[in-house]
Amino acid sequence: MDKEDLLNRIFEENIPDADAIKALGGDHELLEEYQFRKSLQVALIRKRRVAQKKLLHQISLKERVKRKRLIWLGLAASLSLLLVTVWILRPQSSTAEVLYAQYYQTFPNRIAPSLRDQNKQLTEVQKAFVLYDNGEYSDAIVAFKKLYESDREAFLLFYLGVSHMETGQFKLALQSFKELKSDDLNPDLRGFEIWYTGLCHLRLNEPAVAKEYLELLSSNVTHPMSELSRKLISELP
Amino acid sequence: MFEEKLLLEKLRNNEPAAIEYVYVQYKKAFFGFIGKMELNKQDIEDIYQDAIIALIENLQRRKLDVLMSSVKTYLFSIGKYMAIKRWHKKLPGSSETIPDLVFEEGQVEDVYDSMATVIENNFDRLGHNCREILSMFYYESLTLDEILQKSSYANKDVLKSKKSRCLKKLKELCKIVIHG
Repeated sequence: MDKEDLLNRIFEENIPDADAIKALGGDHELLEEYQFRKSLQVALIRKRRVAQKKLLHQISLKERVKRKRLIWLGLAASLSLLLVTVWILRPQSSTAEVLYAQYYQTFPNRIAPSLRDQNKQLTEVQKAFVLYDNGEYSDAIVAFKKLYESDREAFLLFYLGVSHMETGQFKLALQSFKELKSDDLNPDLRGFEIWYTGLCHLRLNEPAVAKEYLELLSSNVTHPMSELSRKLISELP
Repeated sequence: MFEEKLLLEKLRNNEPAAIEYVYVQYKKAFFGFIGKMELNKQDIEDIYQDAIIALIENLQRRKLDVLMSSVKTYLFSIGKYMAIKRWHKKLPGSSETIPDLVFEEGQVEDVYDSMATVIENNFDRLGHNCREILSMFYYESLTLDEILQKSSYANKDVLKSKKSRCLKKLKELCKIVIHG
């Protein structure tokens, strides 16, 4: 058998290293050739292992990213579900509430317009309306109440009622409007207490009662709120 | 899902999809199985990857034509052996070495280490045909007759002389001189 065939046979038959070296019979040149080829075999195995390790590392990274993404997707899905649930279970705004929000407007200060002259001493009424104009309704309520106790002016009760509405105290507002006598109001305020009474009942989800008040206004064709009252009546639930 | 026989064939052909399938399919169970030993996650991940590499290598190098058990059982038994070996290494005062039964060439590698490194760095400079012949013969352990069947060489002598020329070329690239 020639040397090349011998070397090929060693590799083809997977002869163990020690036996292979023995089979070479002390031929130094052949041993060097065998060692080169064996080194080639080792190099190829190593190269393949390195490539496979690299591939497995990439697979592992990919899998980790996928798992993380799944966790995030799960969290996002849970969050979405939670938001949908919260949205479904949210306190529903009734039609009456929506109508109220559409029709309600703060009544302007027609009694004591704010003065530009800072040096002039303000009366108590003016001070109360400054609070009202500034949107400080809680303080305005205190001021209007105090003034009404001493002055007994109907407009004070009217603005007290509107201030209660601004702070969401509709029942107190109704008390104020009920207490005042329309005829005692300044002409340009007259009838508006009916409008606001209607709106209070609307906000308290009493559309039928609201309608009764609004009809009082709608039938008074000369009142500025007559047209708006008719419109609101047509939209009542 | 791969049929077991088809899976082995695909692993033998080094198909990334099959390798990924095996990796993902058995990972959780493997971690549960090896996790009972006192090894950290990174060690178990390394062992798992090495077990897969050993499975593929043994298939590709014709050390394993047919599995007597399932891929999973084979992987787990290799992994268990590797884990014991690694765990043993970590024991304080451990001097006894456990032989490498998984990678056949494991112990031989050291002897040929330096020359193998030079070859590793130059092998890819060979032409495609040379790389293919040498890989089939020295890595896949195919005989010359088997390579002849797979290739377009006229006869075994032509193939033999082509292989010899490839080895000579590789020696030149590696600047290795065989004294004769």
